[in-house]
Amino acid sequence: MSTVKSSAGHKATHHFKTHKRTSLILALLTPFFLCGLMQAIKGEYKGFIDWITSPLGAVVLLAFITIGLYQSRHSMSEVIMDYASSEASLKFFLKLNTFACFVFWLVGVVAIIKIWLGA
Amino acid sequence: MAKGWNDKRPMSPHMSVWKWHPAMLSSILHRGAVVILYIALIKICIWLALFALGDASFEAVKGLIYSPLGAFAFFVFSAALVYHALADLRHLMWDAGKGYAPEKANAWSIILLVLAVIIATVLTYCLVGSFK
Repeated sequence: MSTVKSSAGHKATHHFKTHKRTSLILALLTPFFLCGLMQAIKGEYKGFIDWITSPLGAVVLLAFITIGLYQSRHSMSEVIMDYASSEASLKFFLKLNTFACFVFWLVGVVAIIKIWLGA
Repeated sequence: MAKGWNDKRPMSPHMSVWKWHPAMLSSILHRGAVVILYIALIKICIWLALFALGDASFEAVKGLIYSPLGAFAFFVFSAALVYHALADLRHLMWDAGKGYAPEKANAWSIILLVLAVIIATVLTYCLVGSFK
């Protein structure tokens, strides 16, 4: 018997699996991120720069904003799909969501690299 | 149904027809945490850009970071982050087929919520206590 691949089903499975993987990574990153952030806040501007330029701090921060924004895009897409009142608004807000997440991710990554290089 | 609603997809019953229970509250709070983290992540990226511009940019937002409003924002952010992480771990348990019984699901909903609030309170207390 031949099998028929459903595009929608395939996408949904991919969405589900990706969401689970990123959830687990984000949960593991959470204590590292919060500890680093608290130390950075205590040290004011120098504290933030020291955190961002330290290897562990930079990796945690890069991973946190990358995975965090990737998962936020997924989660916000679900919210939009639940509350968009028409096909047109659904498409518009889904695209806006993807665009905003990508732009702010780029801003964050460029800022981290600039601080890293300028240290 | 909202005026102008033309989406033909089937809708789940509105939450007003459900009897309130802890697992339902947990689901709503999980979604709320998602929205808070979305805004917080965007804010973190903007602040990173400000810090990359130099000390003067930090001085412009310093007053807000070290104010009572800043401490409250840290509490809300850390509570949402911890709650989101704990709720996601519970979803992984559910995926493994464990903890579905209504009594267990309700009890864990309360436990996770209380845990998140306690952890966020302790973190905020430690942070504010360390300010010069």
